[in-house]
Amino acid sequence: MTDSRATNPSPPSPLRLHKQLDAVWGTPPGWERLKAVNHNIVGRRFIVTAFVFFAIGGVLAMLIRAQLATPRSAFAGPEIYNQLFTMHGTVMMFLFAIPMFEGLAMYLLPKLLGARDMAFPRLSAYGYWCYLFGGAMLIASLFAGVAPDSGWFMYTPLSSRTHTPGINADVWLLGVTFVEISALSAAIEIIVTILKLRAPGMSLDKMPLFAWYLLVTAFMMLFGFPPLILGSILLETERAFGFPFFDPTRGGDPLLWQHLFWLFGHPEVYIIFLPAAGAVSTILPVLARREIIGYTWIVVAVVALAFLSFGLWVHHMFTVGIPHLALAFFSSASTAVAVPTAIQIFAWIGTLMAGRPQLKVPMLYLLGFFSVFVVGGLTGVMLAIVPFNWQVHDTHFVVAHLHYVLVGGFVFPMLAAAYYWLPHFTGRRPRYDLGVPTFWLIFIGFNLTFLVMHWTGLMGMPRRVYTYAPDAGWTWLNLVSSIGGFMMAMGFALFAADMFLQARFGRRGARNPWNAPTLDWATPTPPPSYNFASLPSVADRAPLAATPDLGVKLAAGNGYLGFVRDGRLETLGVDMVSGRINQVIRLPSPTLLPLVSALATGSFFVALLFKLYTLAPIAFVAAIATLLLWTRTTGARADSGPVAIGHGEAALPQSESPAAPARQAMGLALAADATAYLSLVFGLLFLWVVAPNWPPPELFQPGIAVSALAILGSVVAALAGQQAALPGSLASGTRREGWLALAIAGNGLALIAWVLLLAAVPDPARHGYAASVFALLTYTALHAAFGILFAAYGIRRSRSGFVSAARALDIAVLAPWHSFTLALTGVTLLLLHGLPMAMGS
Amino acid sequence: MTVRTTIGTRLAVAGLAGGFCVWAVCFTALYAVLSVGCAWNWQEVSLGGLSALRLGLIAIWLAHVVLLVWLFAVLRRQPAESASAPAAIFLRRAGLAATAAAFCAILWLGLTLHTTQICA
Repeated sequence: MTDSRATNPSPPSPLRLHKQLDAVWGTPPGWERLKAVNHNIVGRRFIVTAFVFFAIGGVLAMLIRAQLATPRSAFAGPEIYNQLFTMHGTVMMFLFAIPMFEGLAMYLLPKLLGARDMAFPRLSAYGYWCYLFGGAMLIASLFAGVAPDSGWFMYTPLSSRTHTPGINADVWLLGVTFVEISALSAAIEIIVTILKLRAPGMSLDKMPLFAWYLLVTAFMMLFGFPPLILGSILLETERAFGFPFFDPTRGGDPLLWQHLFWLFGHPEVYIIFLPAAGAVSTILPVLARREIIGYTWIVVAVVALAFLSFGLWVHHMFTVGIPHLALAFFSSASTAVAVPTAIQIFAWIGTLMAGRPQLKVPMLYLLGFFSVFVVGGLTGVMLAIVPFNWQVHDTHFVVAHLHYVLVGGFVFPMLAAAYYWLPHFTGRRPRYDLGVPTFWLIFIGFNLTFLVMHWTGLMGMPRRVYTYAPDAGWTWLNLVSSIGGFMMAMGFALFAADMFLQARFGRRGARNPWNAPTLDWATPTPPPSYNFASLPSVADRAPLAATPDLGVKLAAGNGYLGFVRDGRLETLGVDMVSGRINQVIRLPSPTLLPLVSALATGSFFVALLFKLYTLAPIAFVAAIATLLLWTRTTGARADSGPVAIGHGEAALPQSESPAAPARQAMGLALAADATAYLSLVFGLLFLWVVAPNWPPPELFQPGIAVSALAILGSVVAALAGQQAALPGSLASGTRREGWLALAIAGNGLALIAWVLLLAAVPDPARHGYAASVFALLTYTALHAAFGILFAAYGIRRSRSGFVSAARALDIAVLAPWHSFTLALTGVTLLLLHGLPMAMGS
Repeated sequence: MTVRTTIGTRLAVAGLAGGFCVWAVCFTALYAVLSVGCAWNWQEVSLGGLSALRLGLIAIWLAHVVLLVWLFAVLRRQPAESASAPAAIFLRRAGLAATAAAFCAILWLGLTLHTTQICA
């Protein structure tokens, strides 16, 4: 976009430009670091913290292997052992794998895409603090001896109040939900960043494969995590208040938990694998010294894999008594998912064959990945076949399989990534003195540990047993497994030492030691807080191959935004498909608010954990209030029109752009919200169809007048919200605020109706039906309450001068909320009225 | 970019996920109808020698197969102008490939409908 009104400032000298940018984008040292929101710092924090949790999970694994090394071992009793294996799985899945990929994504994505930061840096920082505090909560429980002990999948009834009366299960349910805030916020941020914050010219077909992988993974997280979060809330509600969602004696069903957990749990495997595969697709062509083969096919395979992975969850439940034909459906999807995985592997092998591979340390780990992951994939196909699955269900064969998949599919590529990108983090030349022996220790140790587990599993050794008899015939295999485990642990210790030594004592090196073609290597190394002194224009999938001195040109300010405007942090936004510039995005400065919000959020979870139910609502309100405080520094109080971006071009600021990132973020948040709601609806329908002790002793008959009031209020709110965002209303302060006031009134009416309906629900502790109805009504009522808050926020922003006909963002971004609430109202009332009729028929 | 090509590109983006959305809806519908049907013994109702439940499942599956074929045809008929930009070419090609892959996945899923007892 060009505009003669916008004057393009002439770029200062490179050194002066660096100083200006650093003054604006940099984070001061000392306590000021707590204010950090920059993706370089937050990404590194995620990675380092995840590695610390990995070490803790590794120590737990060593304790498990120490216990199982010999039969009848007195090393750890069953109570401790249950905590060890539960926490090992929990730490590795929730505190290591997902956050490690989030950290890598946050650090690398803006650089790969040619941007200066992520779309919502404060959200990154908030997510990090939630992750840190939630993880600390889980680890603290370990030291207090009250760690979760029902397995990382928390199956009911084992995790129910009857069989786990202490707070062990509560720690898991609340701690993991707290941590998952960071996963959901990261998912939204990653999607918006990839779709909006790319370099000019980087159309979808020119996007690095890593970005495609992360985009698909983030979408999977968006739809995969809500069922788990919803399930955790339901189980915690059952434990705290006796709502019997999972208690078959009162119309609940333990299988509902398994469905909700594995709806998340199986896609989770691919959520972990795909980013690692993205790293493989980035590193391997560089080391093979040729472009990757089958770019389009890989993109299609990743999309296919993402969808298919949501149709596999029941293969974790093949033995629970589901009809054979249903097992066949899930077996079909479980075998089909191997095809897109194989397409990627063939593309990688083809690239190696067609290229001139260099056997450097990252390549060594990639070869380790190939061999280990393919074995895991093949045993996965075996487990997808129902009769075989029945034979080895809950045996060590499954333990071997999942470790081959997860360690092969995630840890080995991450180790390759660590060696590949370490020079980027440190600016030092890579060395391989320790890297090679480290690889062999880990590779041999891993296979010693887990290869023999296939045998112990086939010989019948069950999972999750703390000991076994000497005459079971498993003794020497377990001893070999334990020796291998300790060898692998030594390898990881050596890896940590190698990373530290290289980062601390490595020799300074030039940028791009691998001669890589992607934009991440166009930044100085280590990267400055702003990544690029000016932003690149991309015309190729391999920008550095086309222009090897691109980094120098950008540092000299020859790209877009090669200047600082009014002390603002600016980057460019583009059209999602074509990569054409459509806005200038202003990003926030360092602030303590994400930390404060995370502390308030943490207080809410801690209050729930210790049953301080009067404190919990206060903490919840405090968390919401601090989150609203974030908006004080966003937006503009005057229309500016297009502003200069360099090269004689201009673009609208995001506050005036109809394609602002916040709008997309709201859409994505509502998609996750809808998934959680549909999981709740699924829960009610599942209990109705499958659970014992139905129909319930007492049906809920919602009043027609109250239901009509709920509909009327929601319709008014939705229409008023939409009207407020129309150009005609936006032009007039009185009119837009009038519509928003009407939205408040509509939501208020609906809220009154929901409260009246809630008061009429039969005792939710008596039956799963009443508990589900109560949950549905509460869910919808909360949306009406937030609708009031959001409309009031719109009025406040309007009166503060942040809204005009051009600056519609504050109003437009919240309008979909009211429409979404109306949709929830319709479905909730349909279920409440329709289900009793269906059950009565 | 003309209005026509914009629509074409949007359809191509839809094609990338659209085919597998059809597969996902089919998968969910089959599992849901099977579960409800088994709970209410629909398998015991016979229609032309086949159980009503199995016939219903086959009908659901066939409807989605037809939908996928239609989606593939729509994507193939995208106007030639939309193929002028590299992004449009890529998205059209990827959309067609993804829809074809979804078609294979739905055929693979459909094979199961004839393999085993329904509610055992």
